[in-house]
Amino acid sequence: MEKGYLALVLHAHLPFVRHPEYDDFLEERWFFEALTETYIPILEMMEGLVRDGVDFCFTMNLSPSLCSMLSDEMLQNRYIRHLNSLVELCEKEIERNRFSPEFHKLALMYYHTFVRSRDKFCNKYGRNLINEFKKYQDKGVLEIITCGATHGFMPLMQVNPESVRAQIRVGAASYRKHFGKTPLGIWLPECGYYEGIDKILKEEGIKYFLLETHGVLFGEPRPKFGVFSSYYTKNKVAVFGRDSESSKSVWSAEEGYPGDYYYREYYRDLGFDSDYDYIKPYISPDGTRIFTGIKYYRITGTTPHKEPYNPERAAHKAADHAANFMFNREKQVEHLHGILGRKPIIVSPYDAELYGHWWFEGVQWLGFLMRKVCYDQKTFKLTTPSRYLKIYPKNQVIEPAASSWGYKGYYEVWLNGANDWVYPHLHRAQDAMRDCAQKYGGKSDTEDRILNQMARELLLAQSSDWAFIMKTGTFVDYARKRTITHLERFYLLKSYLDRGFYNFEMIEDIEEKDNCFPEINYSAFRA
Amino acid sequence: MKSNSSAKAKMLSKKKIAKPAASSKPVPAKKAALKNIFTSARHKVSRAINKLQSVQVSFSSASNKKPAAKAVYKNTAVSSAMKAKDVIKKVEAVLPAVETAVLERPRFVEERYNLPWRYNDDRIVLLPRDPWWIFTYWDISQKRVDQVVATIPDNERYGLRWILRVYDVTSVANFDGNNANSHFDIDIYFDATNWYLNVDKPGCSWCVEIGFLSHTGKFYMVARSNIIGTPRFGISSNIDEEWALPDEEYFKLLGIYDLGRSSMSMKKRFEEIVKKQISSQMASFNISSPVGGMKEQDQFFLEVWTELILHGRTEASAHVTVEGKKIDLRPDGTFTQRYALPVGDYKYEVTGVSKNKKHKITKTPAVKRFEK
Repeated sequence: MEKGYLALVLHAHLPFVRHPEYDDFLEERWFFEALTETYIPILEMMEGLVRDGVDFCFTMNLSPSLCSMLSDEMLQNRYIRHLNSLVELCEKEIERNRFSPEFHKLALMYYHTFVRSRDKFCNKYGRNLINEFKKYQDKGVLEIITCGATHGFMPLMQVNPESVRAQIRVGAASYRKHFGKTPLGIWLPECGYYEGIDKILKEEGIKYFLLETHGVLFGEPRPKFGVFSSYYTKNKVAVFGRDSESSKSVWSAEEGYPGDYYYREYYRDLGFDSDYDYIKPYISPDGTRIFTGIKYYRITGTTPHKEPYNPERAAHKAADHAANFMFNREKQVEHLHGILGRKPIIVSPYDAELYGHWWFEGVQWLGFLMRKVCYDQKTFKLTTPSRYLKIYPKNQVIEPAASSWGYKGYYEVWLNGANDWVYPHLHRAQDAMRDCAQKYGGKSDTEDRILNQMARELLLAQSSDWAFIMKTGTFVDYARKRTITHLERFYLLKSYLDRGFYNFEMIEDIEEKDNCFPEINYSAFRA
Repeated sequence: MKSNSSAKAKMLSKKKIAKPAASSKPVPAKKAALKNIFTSARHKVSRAINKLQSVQVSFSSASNKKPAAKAVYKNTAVSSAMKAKDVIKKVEAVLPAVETAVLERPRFVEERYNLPWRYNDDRIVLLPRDPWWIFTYWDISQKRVDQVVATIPDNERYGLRWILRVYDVTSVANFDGNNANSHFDIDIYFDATNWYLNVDKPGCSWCVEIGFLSHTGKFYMVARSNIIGTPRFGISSNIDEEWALPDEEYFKLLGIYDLGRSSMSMKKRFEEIVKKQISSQMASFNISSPVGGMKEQDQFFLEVWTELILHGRTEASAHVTVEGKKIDLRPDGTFTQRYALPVGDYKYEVTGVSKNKKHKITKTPAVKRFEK
């Protein structure tokens, strides 16, 4: 009989980036790269586990804005175009490296990856990964949870509770549309929590959410089991806290597995190493060198000199690291089981895009881990939050502490000198949205239509990604432009309502550009 | 460029208590920012001298504590060629800077956008940043300022200072401005439009008011904020009886085994560990900004690669192979192949066969690539 549980949680999210007004848009590549490097490999991993009859389960958040992109036809077509271009580049690379065996082998590896991704995307998945993820949820091996509609950071929205509610309600509605049922759990964007969110979660039918370690540990009264159990808030929503030990072994840039010298080096990319004229058709349309995703070297060490990447060697490392992770969890579970008097749950959440995109071997590691946990030990089992709640339906009631999983544990990443200018604008727009929903709602189809688009614009402006990017310093101009553009479109639409004059050409244009959440209902913003 | 320098001006205006990060700015940056302030100040001074006189008054007392404000004051005084004393005599009502902003406002929103950069809705809003710091921003109309100033008795109208009054309203029901647990004041630069406040008290509730402090010490409120709480920090001492666990056991759970110490000191130690942990990890991540941010090459480097270009010409219908592998010809019969050329000996056997297979030519260039 097992003594405890491990709940792996992957948080998959990308901001809504879709620009029909341009033929080729650099930032859309975030989505394409994540598809090839993370989302499709995760599906392939599950395919293999199911095929081999491995007993496994884990939890995954597919954020509503990501789902909007996954189901968008234009982006699907552009992804195929993106893959076609990469396949073409790989064909050239195979030829170019004909007399350099180490690189030739890698060029072939990338070629096969891109060709296989294209084949699966078009033929097996019917271009829409959502249905494929849903299949695994229906099989009972994957628990999909939802997220704030556009990943808005709720603690900094607390002056407008209607906006917090709209993020959650639109997120839940998007989930129902894509997955055909009410979401059990939610990933609070950035694990951002403030006292009072749980009441809104309750009203929207959410059963559980996840928090950073100290969000639970600093709960009131003292949480008896630390972060190793579920709790209820006073509104009877369950809450789980992140285990920091297991997180660190993957996250930490220094001590974490991804830094191993045999793993693939992220920063050495053909886009930067190649002869300019040769690579020009495959980089940014403006001629700036960018990452292509074709990377030939391993981390090697701290020196600039890099050795060629060896996939077999790296796979062995991933297997070793999976074994190490499992061993540490066994020790942890045994230790905790002795103290707690109930079976502990170790909750290990990670950003999904860390796997595959950043840590190239990460998805492989995950697959090894799940197989090993199933066959190589008996101390613990894999679980999901909702399964754990079935085992322990009675839990201590605590008030979790306000927190986030961002740098320094609170709200500073999204509130500092680089991005604090957005909040006066966002808060006013949030007020305006609530007032307009109240004032113009239900008057006519045209007014409702405009209100729905205003709701989309406001939600898009609220994405925490923009503030995050402004803080981290790459793509800052793009993030600023996005915040401002959506607010501008919001106020333009509002002016139509205020004046009773409608420029339908403009409305259509905006609707076509920001076409996320077709099922949206502005009434989520009503007071 | 423009928004950059004005951002510096904004940082500067918040002085030390405002932003710990900003206080470590190098001096030249500060000077540049100041210069900027002065230039823009001069422009505006010449346009609106009358209004500015009153601005100076509002600075004159604040300037004792605020280097930035003081500098602005002095400079504008010079350019308007008036002594502060005279100004004070002449001024009837204090009209602090709103429309006649001396400092260039931080313009994150550029002019080509139609987003309003002022709302004039007389609001002050409070947000928590972490257990120790809160953030406030305000947007007060001239009308509201006039309204409040009109209520101030004549003899108190000079030497008015803009301040933030920060109230600790923890467990206070229906805060009305008079029933707070305690409060403290902070001199501000009004045009900064926002401020970071170090309250240093986790788990408490806060409200701020923006307003004037007169020389007699009387406070005239202009706007009051919403109420927010700073996050709690630390393990609760409040223990559920039903769910009680002895302290030694509890701290084992958290990985602390030092049973010789008191539970209080264990608790403290644990909190220190947590504090260190949360301020070092970088959990949240974005696909555009990988873990740890973009890695800058911190060591000098030089990479040199060589490639070999093999090109030639034959009949357009010919069949050409390089080392046994067929290659494509252009419609005019020319071809170009590029191969990576690492260190070593290489030969490239190129064979052309005519369409009717009657003619066959083989040429085999060879190269030796080595490092000298």
